[in-house]
Amino acid sequence: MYEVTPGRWYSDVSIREVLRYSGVRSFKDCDEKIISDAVRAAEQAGEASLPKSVSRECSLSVSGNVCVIDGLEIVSRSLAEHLAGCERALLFAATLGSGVDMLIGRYSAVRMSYAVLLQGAAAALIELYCDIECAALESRYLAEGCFLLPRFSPGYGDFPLECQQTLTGHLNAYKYAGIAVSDGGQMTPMKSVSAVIGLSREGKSRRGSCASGKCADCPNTGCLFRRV
Amino acid sequence: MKKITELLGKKILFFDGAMGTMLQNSGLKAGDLPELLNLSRPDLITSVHRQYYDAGCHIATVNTFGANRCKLKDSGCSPEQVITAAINCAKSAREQSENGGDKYIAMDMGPIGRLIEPMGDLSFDEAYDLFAEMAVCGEKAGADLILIETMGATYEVKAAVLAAKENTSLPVFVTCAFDASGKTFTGADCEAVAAMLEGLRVDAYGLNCGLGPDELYPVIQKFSEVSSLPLIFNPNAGLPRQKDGATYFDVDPDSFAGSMRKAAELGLSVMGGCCGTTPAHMSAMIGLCRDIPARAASDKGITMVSSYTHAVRIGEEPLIVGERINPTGKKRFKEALKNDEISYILGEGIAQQEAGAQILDVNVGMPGIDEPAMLVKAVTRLQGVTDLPLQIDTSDTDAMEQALRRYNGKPLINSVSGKEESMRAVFPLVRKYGGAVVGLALDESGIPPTAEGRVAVARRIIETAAAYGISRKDIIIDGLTLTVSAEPDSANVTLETLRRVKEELGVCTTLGVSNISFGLPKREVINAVFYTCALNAGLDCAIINPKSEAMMNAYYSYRALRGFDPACGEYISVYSAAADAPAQKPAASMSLKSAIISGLGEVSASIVRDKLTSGEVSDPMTLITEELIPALNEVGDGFEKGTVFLPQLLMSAEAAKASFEVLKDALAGSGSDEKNGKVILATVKDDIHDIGKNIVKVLLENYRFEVLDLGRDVPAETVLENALKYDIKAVGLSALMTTTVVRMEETIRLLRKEAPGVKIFVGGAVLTEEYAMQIGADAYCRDAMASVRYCQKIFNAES
Repeated sequence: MYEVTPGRWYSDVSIREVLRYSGVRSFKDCDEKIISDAVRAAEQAGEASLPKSVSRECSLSVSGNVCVIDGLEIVSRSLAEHLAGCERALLFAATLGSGVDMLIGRYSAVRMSYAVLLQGAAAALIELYCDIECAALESRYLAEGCFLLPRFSPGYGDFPLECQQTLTGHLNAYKYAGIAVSDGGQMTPMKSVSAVIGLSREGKSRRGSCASGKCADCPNTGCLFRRV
Repeated sequence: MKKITELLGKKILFFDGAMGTMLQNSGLKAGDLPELLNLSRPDLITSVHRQYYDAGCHIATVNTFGANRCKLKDSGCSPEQVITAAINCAKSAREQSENGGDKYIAMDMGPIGRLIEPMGDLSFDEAYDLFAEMAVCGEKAGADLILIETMGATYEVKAAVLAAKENTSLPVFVTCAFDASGKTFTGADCEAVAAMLEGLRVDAYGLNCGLGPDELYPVIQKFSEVSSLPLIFNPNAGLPRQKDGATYFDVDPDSFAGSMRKAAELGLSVMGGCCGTTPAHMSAMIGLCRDIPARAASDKGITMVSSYTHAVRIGEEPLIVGERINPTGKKRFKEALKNDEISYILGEGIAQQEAGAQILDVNVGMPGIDEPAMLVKAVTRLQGVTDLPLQIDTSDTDAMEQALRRYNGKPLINSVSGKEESMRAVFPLVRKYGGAVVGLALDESGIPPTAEGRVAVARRIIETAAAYGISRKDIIIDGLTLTVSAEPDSANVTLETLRRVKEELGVCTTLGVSNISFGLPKREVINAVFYTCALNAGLDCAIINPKSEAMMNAYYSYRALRGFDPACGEYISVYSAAADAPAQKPAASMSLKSAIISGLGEVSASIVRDKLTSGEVSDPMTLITEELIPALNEVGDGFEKGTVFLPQLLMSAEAAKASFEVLKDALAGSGSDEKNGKVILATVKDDIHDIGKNIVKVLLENYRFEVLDLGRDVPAETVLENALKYDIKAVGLSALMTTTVVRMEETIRLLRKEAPGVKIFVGGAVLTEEYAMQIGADAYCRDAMASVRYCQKIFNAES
């Protein structure tokens, strides 16, 4: 009942996630009209998207709280701990494209209640897209006996936000995916992600512990959108 | 050596292949700026160019892809140093090469690497300046042409083309990067790119990078179908693959050459390669393709206007140009213009798009406003919320030029007339910026009373345009609708003009349809019939109100009847959906309060309307105090308790707003429409995420606060300036990330110093109560309701 059109890249989007990102904290207490609007928002955001990703396999060395990725030095204890034991890493960036930003902007001007649902849908879609792209990358690396660790993005723990520029620059993400970092250090289009993904030979068990619920590792325990 | 433009269409010209791939093979490290090698390793760069010249390439693309001031800022080198050195390398290679053919040097300009507003934060003018500096350096150092390449954003392309054409005399070639679906990364399709670039009158254009020649074949094929200019095709050597940490491309020289030969048969003028291609690829390609005769580009005669995503073809099926963005005869619109209420204009645009318009007319001319500034603002802001092409409608040529310059795409221009003075003013702008232009069939003697006379004026407009180099496909004749109640034969003359313009002149047509019914009752009735007659007489672009049911009935019916709607699919989907949809009608028992709580906008408005017209309510204020405010309070309380969620809260807010709109007129003059106080809202400097701020705005307006919304990425000085100018008591600031909270703190510091009485409340994802206090705010508002409560507290305390 709560499904978007099958056969699209975004067909597997979870409407519960769309609602959660839109500030609906309890699915069962949610008005029927809002649920059907959320489905429509997911559909419309999916249609407006032009998702693109870019990735690159890099050399990696970790020493103390310093990670050196393809010669780029990143000082971050959280990242170093996350990548401990990995021999290589993937740099990864993805975006839904600027059409989604424009769509949210359109409804922000006339119907904020729907803009909030579109924004929630876009948040759910970029996660879904990253998962799809990473699953494809992982299937390639599994053949070599490597697992992909969960994506670790600038802003997690003490991994500096400024590193968004470093990662997207090294990936040439503007040229290949249209992802830029603004003067103020924010990614444009707004629904974009950059991340480091450790390549691990003992990945399976670590993946399980790291990925449990995705929110488990985040120190922002007061977050409105935290999964309980 | 001949100028390169003289050879276009006479023989196939060959660009070189990749520079970056060659440099990486020579040990360039990831992260190093390749452009600096022009200064540190000129021998290496010269050798790459020479290999390409020796392979038979006619054009060396110099190593200046990212040689803009923005990318070079930490390098210690100026664009001029890097570009001069780059061109000197190509000159040396040209002298050294033993290949005797034509050898040109292309100044290369790649993307800046940042998105232009409103998609990003770089201004159009900044982008223009960066490209202008590069182009000037390139010409001065001796380039023969400018190549603008690997572009994904049409707005950036436009900035680069204008910079090249306005600051140099060099030919301009442009190539964009497309994906397999035939779109650039900002969503532009082939026709959108073709329409804009032909409008800007570049010398040749096409595509590069992205994918290999086979994957891009459908895209270049599409270009060959619509393009009237010489085409360029510079694909990659297939797709990038990684092996042992190194990147390689999967199409070898012979396969590449075979694929390029197939593409050349489409009638290409310029061919080369991008990422992964080498002198071996070029040599193989030239060997296979050099004998294919070049085809001179021919005008395809397709009338197109475009936005930044798509083009609309005119003349193939009836189109609707939404007429509602125009202050003429609209009190509310005039008020919005006077108060700089841009959101009202955006709302009109979006509503017309939802109602079925394919193009939007934009007219903001009114005595007492700065029309050029307002038109630019309206056009650029509309392009932030709608992807429809716009019709720039003004009689002020200064406003027209500024809006054309900042328009992202190829617009419709409304209008030029047969008056000499008008044509002298407007045609040079059409020639420079591109556009299809509406030609009004009137001249110095006024509006000819006969169809014969109007066709004669139209003919003169088309001929004069041709003298400016503007093709007849870009002229759209308006045969002029006059009021039938004043001039009984006027409809016949207009329809006859339409027919003859189509038959005798073969150009597209437009009409402002509803002028026909001025002064008559039930205007929609006669408008719809006249519209149908006009469609039948050959009307292409009808300037109408797409929110009018009668007009849309005529439109959908005409399309179904005349074969524009296969199997009546569109008609069925529009009208069966309308029949099935449960109309938002109030249940007899439903109160205004419960309609608002349920978030039913149309129902709420309709209840208020009924109560006012039936006389059930004599004092509109009682509806506010007894129903509206209690409803808002109930929803607000529920939100704070966690039983009502954000989308519901906002739906109720929108329903309340719809009720207020109806009550507004009833309250006008009674003094009851007073606001609670004026509040500034802003997302701080460097922060472009404004959804939180926009939510707060909706709620504050609902609680009768007047909101001065300064937008996003707002400098501290702008907040201060407005706080002082409007004697503001409360300022709300939002920031999304830790990096921009720093800007928030700076803004607070400035306000404390220069406007010490102002109360400041803050919000945003990373803020906490403690953090807010630490940066000196008066209050931390964790959500929109908290902002409302805070403003109520401070304004109540004051009153």
